Amino acid sequence: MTIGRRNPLSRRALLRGAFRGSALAVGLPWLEAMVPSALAVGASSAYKPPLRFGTWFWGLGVTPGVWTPEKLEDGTLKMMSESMPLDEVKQHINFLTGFDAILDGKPNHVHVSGTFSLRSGIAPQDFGKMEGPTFETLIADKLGGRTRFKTLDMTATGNTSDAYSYRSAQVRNTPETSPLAVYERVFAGGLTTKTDGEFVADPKTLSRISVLSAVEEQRKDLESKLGKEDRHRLDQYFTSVREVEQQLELETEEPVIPAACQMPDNPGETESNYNLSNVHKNHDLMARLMALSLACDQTRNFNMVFSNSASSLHRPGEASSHHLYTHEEFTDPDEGIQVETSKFVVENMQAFATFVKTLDSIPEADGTLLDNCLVFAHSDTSWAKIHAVQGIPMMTAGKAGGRVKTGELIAANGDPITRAGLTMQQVTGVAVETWGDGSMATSSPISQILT
Amino acid sequence: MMKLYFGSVAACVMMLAACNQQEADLSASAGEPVEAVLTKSTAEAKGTIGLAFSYFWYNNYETPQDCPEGLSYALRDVAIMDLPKAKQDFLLKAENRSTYYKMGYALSAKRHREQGTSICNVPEAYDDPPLRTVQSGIAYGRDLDGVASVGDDAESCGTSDFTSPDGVQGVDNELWRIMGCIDSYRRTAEFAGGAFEDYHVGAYRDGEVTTVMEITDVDDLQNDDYVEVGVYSSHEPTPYDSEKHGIGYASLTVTSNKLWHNTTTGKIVDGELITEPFDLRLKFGFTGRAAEYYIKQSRIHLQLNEDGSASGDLAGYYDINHAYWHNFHDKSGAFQVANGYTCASAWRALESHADGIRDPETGKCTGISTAMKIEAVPAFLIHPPEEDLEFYVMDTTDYYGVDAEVIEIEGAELRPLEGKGLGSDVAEDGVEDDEQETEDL
Repeated sequence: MTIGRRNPLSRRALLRGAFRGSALAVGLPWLEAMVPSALAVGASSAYKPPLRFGTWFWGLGVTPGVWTPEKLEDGTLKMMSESMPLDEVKQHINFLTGFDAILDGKPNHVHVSGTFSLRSGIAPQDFGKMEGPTFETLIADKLGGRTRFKTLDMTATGNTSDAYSYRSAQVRNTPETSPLAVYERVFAGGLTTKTDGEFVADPKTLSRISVLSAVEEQRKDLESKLGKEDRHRLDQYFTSVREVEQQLELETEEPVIPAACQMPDNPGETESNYNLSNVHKNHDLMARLMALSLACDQTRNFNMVFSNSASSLHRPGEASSHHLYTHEEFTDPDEGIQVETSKFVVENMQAFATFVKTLDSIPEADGTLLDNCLVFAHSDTSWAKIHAVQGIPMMTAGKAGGRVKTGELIAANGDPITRAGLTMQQVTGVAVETWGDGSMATSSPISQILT
Repeated sequence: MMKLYFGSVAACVMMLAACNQQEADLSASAGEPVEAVLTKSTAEAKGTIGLAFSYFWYNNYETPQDCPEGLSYALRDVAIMDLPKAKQDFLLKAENRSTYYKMGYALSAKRHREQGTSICNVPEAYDDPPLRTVQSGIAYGRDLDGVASVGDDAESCGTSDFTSPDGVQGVDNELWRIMGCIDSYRRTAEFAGGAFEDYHVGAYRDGEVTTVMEITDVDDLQNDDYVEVGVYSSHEPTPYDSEKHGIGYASLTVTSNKLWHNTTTGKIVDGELITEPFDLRLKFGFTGRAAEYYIKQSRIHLQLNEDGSASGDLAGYYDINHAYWHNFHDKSGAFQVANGYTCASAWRALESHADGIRDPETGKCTGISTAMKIEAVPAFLIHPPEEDLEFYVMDTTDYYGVDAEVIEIEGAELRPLEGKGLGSDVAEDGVEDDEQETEDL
């Protein structure tokens, strides 16, 4: 019998054998394979939604003094001008402030060091060279093994370079760059909600598995002729291939589609570039597709990029981008801030509010999809004008299936920013006690947001 | 060899009398069981004060009278200078600033194409309007040459000194004169006010740059006629709190690169350390830029506070090449665009306002006076073992567009420049800077 999503392993299962003539049995720890990932459509309400984790990125940070909410005496959060779009979803959000990237004498590579430090725990020595896997890929390894897609990566800008998730030092996850591509890959290309009749695996899928297996001998032969570095590279590559095999094997089993799953409409062709109105349109469509991908249990991990590091967003008809404004715009004498620059921050926050509302709009079990998600949002810098990496703004959204409190404002005291990554990993079940490099090594999660 | 002390070194140094009392107590208890602790007697070892700079930037005294003609021209201003008045007025309207902001980058890219290199590498290639300079006559700083120059003495190469805010004459601080009307160097300017201070201090706060200092042979914290002083770079970060205040008593390892080891002697007068002049060379480079502090004939005045912190100033002469590279140059030319000056005007100002370190052969001044403000928190310094010491200089020849002999130091290894930094040749997407729109800030 194949241990699959419909035939879970018995929780009383034992490994049995013989040793010097005596029979012995070894118990097993709790395994995910002992629990069905989801029950079929129409099954009872015993369905327990899985935990999902994802990141949401925006570029060029915020303006000091006008983004961080104020915590009022009654415990509620009062939004500032740049965080005002989040007012309607603030009950779902935690704001994390006062966490710093600490570079240990390495250069502050503009628009890079902050993100790389936060995501990998290591300040990069060389520009653009990530020195380890980013933490959300470690979470994806934990959560994403039993879905069609281990992770879904999307960028609303249309540029495949606008992605910050690295499987290893130099292996970057390639994002989908249009809503139509997401739709075709996830929904039009293999998701079926039909459950009546006998399930028959797609012959194309079976042939793809056998093709991958067929190169095994040649792979070993090739490895024997390569140097250490190349063997390492090949090993990384074939690890990825093996993950694809595992995803394909899942497709040979009858799919289990949660009740909350709905098939979206085809979003059609959209224009992808840095024009702010196009970015918003693509993001909003992608947010919906992402939410349905989660609700249909096609993936449990995602990375969403609204705007790139060194944001190239621009308004229609304007010569200057968000990035250019951060460096060039005059400070308004009355407001004390760069007014146009600040408007771009508000646009980014509006997009995040939309993303949160989209997840919250899908009912699931006794609540919503958002309740079973943990979304980690952050930027590459705090104050873009000087590329500051102290106090990089971060947020979480969702209750992570009851593991996380929301509506909190956490003000750290120059703590290493890696505390956030450690917390995300521990909440999602990654077995890690200490994370980060050098001065950013930490074993202290942000316990204030944990239930 | 690691020294082990009884209790906190800094605390002992700050309370020599108390530490001696502690020793006396130990002695008094001779014969009674005491916990075995390896100590180095503070009576035997002269006191040591360890410090980490928590603030190190120009000691600027801004007044509304500094720039009566206005701030210096930015490259965007130069770009529209020859346009008809009506067109200039149109671009300067708030609703059209998006285009106006872009003009500086367009001119930078045009010049880059014309020269085949960053215009900052060839600052003499263009005849931009001269920098506007500080006219108020008041500045922080020190009298470095013992002369109150009024523009007629050869030693100061025709420059005039400032008067300090409290009335001391003869203050040499010509670097402030030329940077004091550049928008980003002023805290109060309307465009990018405070940007450079934030950049410099930010580099300390994020751990990109660390400077540590050690005062040894201290007999008396109030008055001591001889102490030894070391100022060093470190690659370990000075800790800061979320309010950007330095946190004391971190253990910081001195860099292994002897190039960034600086030593001098000095004295303590009424609680103030006063050093003998020395040449200061330290690692620096916010946002990954290739830069160093290289301030010759530096002298430090530092008030040693009871809580272990210290505050004061450093004054000396920048070699004008280093003053240019460190404060104004960047390889892509974008830095000048965003910060209210042009490389051409900055270089010419440095040449014309040089006021020290005269070349005996040419009679020209090769240095420009400066003053920096220091704030420091107590720290423990760890010195690398002798066998780990290195001696190298970063190969910035390509970055600055100069010959190797300008950069090389006898006996020092020339090491490839680490990292990308602002304005490298290749952007993240692998496109050459001059092939793409210049926005690599």
